[in-house]
Amino acid sequence: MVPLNTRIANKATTLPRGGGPDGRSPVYVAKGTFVTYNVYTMHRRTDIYGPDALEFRPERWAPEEGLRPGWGYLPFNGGPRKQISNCSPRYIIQSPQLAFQHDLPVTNFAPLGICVGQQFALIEASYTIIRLLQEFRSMENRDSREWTENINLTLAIATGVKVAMVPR
Amino acid sequence: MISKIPRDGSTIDLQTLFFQLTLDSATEFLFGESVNSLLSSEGSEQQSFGRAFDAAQVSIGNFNILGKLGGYFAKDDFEKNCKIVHDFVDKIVYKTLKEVDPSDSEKNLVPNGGRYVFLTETAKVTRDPKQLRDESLNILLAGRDTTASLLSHTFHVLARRPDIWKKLQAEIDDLNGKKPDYETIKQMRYLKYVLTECK
Repeated sequence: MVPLNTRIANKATTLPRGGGPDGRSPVYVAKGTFVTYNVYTMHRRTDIYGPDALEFRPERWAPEEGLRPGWGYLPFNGGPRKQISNCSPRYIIQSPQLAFQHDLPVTNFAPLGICVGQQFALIEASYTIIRLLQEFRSMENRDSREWTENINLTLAIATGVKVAMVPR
Repeated sequence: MISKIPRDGSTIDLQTLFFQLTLDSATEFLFGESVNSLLSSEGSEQQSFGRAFDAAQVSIGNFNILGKLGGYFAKDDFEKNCKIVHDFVDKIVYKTLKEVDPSDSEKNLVPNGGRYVFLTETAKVTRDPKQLRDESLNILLAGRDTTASLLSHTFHVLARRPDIWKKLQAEIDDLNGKKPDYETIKQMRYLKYVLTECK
């Protein structure tokens, strides 16, 4: 999980919102400006995810709930990526849709996220979770402390994940 | 990894295991052979590599926060850790450079049984050992720490939310204990929601 990320403007441009006294006017971005965005905060925006944005509620992603955050959900980033292939190099504008969420065939995954390791990461994480839950009946929390961040380039947990596992 | 988890109810830090697991799987993909940190003993070269890689990142984070002041912040340790990481990767890089040589048709055969190995493929494009090391470490960081942190957060939540554990296990029990393949994983909806919510 990468909680923060930065883009540098390679030319002078404007962003549609963020300027003016109420932050609703366009904002000027000079060439060379670092634009940092906080994915951790974006994913907790109540205007996108509703009043329970802070709650851990997997069901919010069920299609029936109709949640479509678009660019408000950026776990694997988005934007143009230079494609290196046997054909001449080209740029593809990618939309940061929930590739894993939609049941698209594998060949359709590539242009959706900017992260080349997206599929690998999700399959690796899924496989690990499945195998652990097959092996263990339950898990006991052994740490009463609050979650504390350990933030470097990725976001880990300062207190670790101290548990006891109960075999099947 | 599963065999490293105690079955007698004693406490274990899963986060440590997840960072070892993803170090092992990422290095297998990058270098063609895993460093097997989960299997190696405490203090082994493999575990020191993982530890130095983590510690060097903490230093980089501190340098970023402190800016110019970072120059006073435990530079010695940082350089020591970088050297451990670089030496470890360089050994593999030089071995690969010896094995892969696009100008030599004899050596251009695909090693590793036709499997994609990042370093082997990159060595066909550049012969610069420093670039090969940098590209490998870049992918290692991107492919390893991210997944380990996703798994850690998932289990951090599951340890505190038995209701979610129960729903997840119900879906997983539909496999009847069979190890999942790619297609099966793709079809597991609740697992997908949990991971999407965790990110």
